Amino acid sequence: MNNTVQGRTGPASSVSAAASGSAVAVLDVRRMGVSFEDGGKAKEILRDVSFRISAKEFVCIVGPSGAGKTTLVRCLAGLSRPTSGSVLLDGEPVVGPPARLALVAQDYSRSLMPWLRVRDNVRLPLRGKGISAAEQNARVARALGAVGLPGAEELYPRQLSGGMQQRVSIARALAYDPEILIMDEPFASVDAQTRAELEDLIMQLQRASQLSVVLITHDIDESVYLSDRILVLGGRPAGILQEYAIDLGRTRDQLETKALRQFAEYRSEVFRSIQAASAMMRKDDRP
Amino acid sequence: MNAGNVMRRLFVSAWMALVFITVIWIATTQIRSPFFPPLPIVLTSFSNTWFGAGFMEHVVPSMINLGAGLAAALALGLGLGVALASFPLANALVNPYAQFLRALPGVALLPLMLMLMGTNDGSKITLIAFGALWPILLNTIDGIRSIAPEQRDSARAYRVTPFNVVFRVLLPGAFPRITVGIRLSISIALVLMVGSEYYGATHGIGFYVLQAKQTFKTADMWSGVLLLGLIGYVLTTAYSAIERRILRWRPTDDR
Ligand SMILES: Nc1ncnc2c1ncn2[C@@H]1O[C@H](COP(=O)(O)OP(=O)(O)OP(=O)(O)O)[C@@H](O)[C@H]1O
Ligand SMILES: [Mg+2]
Repeated sequence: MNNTVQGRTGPASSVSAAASGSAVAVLDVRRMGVSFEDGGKAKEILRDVSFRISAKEFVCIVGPSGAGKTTLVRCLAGLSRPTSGSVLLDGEPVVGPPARLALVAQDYSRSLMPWLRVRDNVRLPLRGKGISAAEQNARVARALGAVGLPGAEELYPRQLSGGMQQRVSIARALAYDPEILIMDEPFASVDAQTRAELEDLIMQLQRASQLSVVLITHDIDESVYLSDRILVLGGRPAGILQEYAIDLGRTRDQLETKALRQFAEYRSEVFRSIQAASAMMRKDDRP
Repeated sequence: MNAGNVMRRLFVSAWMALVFITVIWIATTQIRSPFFPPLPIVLTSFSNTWFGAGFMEHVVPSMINLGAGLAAALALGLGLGVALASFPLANALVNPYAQFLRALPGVALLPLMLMLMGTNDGSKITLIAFGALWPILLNTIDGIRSIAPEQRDSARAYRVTPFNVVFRVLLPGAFPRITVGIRLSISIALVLMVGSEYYGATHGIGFYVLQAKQTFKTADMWSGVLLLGLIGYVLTTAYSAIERRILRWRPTDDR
């Protein structure tokens, strides 16, 4: 049913074709649209969203609050089905949560199981999948160490601060050893220092493996610092308004990279683009 | 918790009972009514019967029926609850009838049960299980539905296996509700256990109490009533401890 749109590039994918070159697309979003039934009338949230994510690519999606970023992420993760268009993973349509895809949800406190200790929360996705108990525990300990929570295994989520819970939910994703990592505002509740450390952690992991990362953020500096590519989502219904290929090299440093003139230029471009998107949405919101 | 603490807690929970026992003691030794024999005589009967042959003859069979009935109700209630909560259509079809059966007092079915299945232990256990099933079943369904969608989504996103979804997500997540059902079921099961021993039984604590009453052994009757009260108290107290342990993940202020 999607034959008609195959090979056709989406409205804003001209940059993406150049940026991802001949790399294989891992995730391929084709003219995706999402509408919700709201009090009898359909509310269109996303329209004609098209982009591709390649293997080993780090993509940030930015956009005003309420644009539909979480809605988009749910479709990528197979938690909901788009109303129109399709999401392909390795060429296969995503009809449910794919194996080897990890999701760090925006609502971290409710995505953890409050009745499970930290260890059991991180371990839950690994159980019953042919991984030995010793290996499961080793992965849990390694992931908790990586996010700076070594020894938190025995605690219950309620005994942790918001930022610590957020890190547990990141640890759960890391222990899962995914090929695609999707994170919806994963650093929103952690302090600036921890945030910088977690950014570098995810970036190093991604550089050292086959991992592709899609990260939703409100923080423009963060998006420029981390990304190979930035997608700006906005409008009502929302679509990809802009794409930026961020050419700052593969190795980046919190101080040096952020001091570069190019960094400042990317940042102001992305800033202006989000500003335009917000203004556009405010105008559309007027009765 | 240290020894002093234990003593204090014991005193706090037991002072009323101590006062009560003293009053009963004095009253029963003074009034000399045939219906209220003096407490020391009741206590003598209590220790002679329940620490003697009566234990194997009456207490053990009663407890086996109670335990088997409750266990069956728990297994069926949790199992069916998970199944019905997972299939909304099945739940919509079954739920109104389950609500009706919950509202139906179990003792009302006693004569029917005895007629259909006889007065053997199987029929008693079935009756207890039937009465205790509904609160557990309905609360399991409600509890599972009250689990935050975000939690179920994260289990889904990580492809948590069905076994782990049931035992590490759905049942523990629903337990704050399930436990309300279990508490109800324990009291219902006790009532049905005694009731089932009032009809055509040859052993059991209920049978002993009824027989003592019919032969005007009021002290024996009271010793049976006292034992039933104690069993009820011990069961609910022990269950509270289990519940506290299972719910220790919850902040203490909303318990
Ligand atoms: N299940 C739903 N039913 C109806 N409307 C919904 C539903 N889910 C989301 N929406 C609407 O879709 C729009 C986009 O929501 P979404 O959560 O995707 O935004 P977002 O970009 O993630 O925002 P934020 O940056 O604040 O997290 C909102 O207007 C929201 O009200
Ligand atoms: Mg969101």
